[in-house]
Amino acid sequence: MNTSLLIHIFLFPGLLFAVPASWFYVWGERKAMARMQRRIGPPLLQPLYDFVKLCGKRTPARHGIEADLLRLWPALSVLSMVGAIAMLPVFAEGRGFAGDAVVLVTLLEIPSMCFILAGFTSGSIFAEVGAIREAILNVACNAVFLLSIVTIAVMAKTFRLSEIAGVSSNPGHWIGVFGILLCIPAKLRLNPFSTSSAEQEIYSGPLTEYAGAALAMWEMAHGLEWVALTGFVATMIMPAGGAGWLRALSFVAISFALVLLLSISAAATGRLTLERSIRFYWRWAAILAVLAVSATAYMRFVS
Amino acid sequence: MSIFHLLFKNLRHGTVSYPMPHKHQCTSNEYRGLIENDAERCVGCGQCAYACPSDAIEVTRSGDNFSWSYDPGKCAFCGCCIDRCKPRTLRMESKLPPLYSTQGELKQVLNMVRKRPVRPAAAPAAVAEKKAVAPAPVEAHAQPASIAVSEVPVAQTAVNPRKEDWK
Amino acid sequence: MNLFKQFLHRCRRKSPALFHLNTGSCNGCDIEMITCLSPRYDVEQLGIHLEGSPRHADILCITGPVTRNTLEAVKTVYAQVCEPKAVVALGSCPASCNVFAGSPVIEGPLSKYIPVDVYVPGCPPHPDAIAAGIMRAAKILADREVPEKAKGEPQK
Repeated sequence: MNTSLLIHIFLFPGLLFAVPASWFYVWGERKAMARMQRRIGPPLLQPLYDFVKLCGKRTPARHGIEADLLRLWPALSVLSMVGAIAMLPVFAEGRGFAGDAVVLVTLLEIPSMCFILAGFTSGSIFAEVGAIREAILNVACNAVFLLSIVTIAVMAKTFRLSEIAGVSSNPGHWIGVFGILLCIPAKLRLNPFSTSSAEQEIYSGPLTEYAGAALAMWEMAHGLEWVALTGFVATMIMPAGGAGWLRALSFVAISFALVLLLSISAAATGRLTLERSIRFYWRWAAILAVLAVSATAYMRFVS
Repeated sequence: MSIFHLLFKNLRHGTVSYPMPHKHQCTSNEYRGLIENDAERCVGCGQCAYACPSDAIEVTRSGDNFSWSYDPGKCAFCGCCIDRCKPRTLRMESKLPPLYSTQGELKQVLNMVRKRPVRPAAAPAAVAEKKAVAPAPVEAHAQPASIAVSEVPVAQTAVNPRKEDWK
Repeated sequence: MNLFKQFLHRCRRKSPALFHLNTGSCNGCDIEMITCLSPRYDVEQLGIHLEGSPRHADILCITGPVTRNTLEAVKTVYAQVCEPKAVVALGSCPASCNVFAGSPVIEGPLSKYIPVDVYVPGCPPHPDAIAAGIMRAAKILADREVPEKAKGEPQK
């Protein structure tokens, strides 16, 4: 275990950076939504207050394997998200993980899986409906996500993160980044693809039966998903080169700019129903993604 | 694309929210607040209790005394009592009713004593007497203080013309 | 640790999560409660937000006289809200059934079934009064002690 690895996991961009950053990004989204609706919005430390308050609540007693499973899913989500953030290629090659995009995508998938499983484990009918919606949407959205990753990797001739990171002049790279950006609202359950955790419509969806510290962990996992996904796209479009601290700064700045962009799209749209969401992904986005992969393969192998 | 124009226009124009918690409470003169009764001029006719749809006002009489009670916890703030009040002693205050923690905490009871009026010889004397009388202030809060307002009956005759009808 | 308890107290006051329950109301109080969240009053400045599930909430905002059909729902939802919790009765219907008192399908004032912490008078109450009522309930629940034994209850 070299120190560089430990710094990546625990310091930057790992735990010590990711947790306050998640609170900051969640606050940024809520504040941006409020300002666009001519409201004032919550104060800066609001996500921290929510988190600590939730940790201090008394949870209902549960029995059997269900109790352990219900606490396992949010813990697994948080751990996988911290791992994904630690793997992000913020710095130049040779420091920290030398991971590849397949591992990163796997780690990014785990919270969705845990969300669905938490819905089914809860035993509440509203949770089941939410979990079913999330499962169907996940399949549709992952088609686009994975095809975008494949487009980027085929263009760059490798799956290694440090190779595909950074802005590049390949058109395939930019098509892939655009595809990933299309998938992020569904992964973060933002409007217009917020049908799985539809607030008030199905009583909070899969998390209906969660309370107290486990719910605080879910909120933490959601915040870390913000950091991981916006950070992933930020590393794809960051300018290459530069000193370590300059790269870190541009990483944070570009991530926050993406947070604001996603807030604008969330404020501008309403919630689409499940059929319309999957029609969007399967019909338009998957067709574009298939075209992108074939064009990229043609450019790589033929010309 | 007009939604994006709207969002950016909202960003430019700023917020319309009152900063919370804000000190001045936005009510106007016509705001329907708590009912207030004027203990010196109330005649105890009971029309307000009869008109009230939710029995928030109760008027009970026994001999020369009558008590008028009002429970804001039951009030629908409709104003029917004010419409029916002939002497115009009831009115609505225009500030927000206060929060409370126990049921019935805000109930106010006014106990009033009305002596049977002595018929005055001439009206101008009654008017002069009215000016001379200093009415005692009435506690209008939760404690049912029974404050006798017994100096008033003579003035009552002058102020309330309906009493002339009761021969 | 005293410092942590003070911080927890501050967080509980600054982050009241509401669950709104309508027990047969005419919807006037519900509309005024939604007005609190609208841009004119915007109680999100104080950290107040609506939650979709009673398990996620701290403060129950109840409107309406308790009708026969909603009685079981009131008791169930109150049991589902996790400690520490507070109850706010909006309007004069939960306090005294208002004009519906005496009806055969009205089960009576709310305080017969669950303990109420704050009553907000009005028909309907002004959004300023609703916001003040929620803040007072947040202070009450922050001062409330969660029983230690129940906190250590095993989730097995």
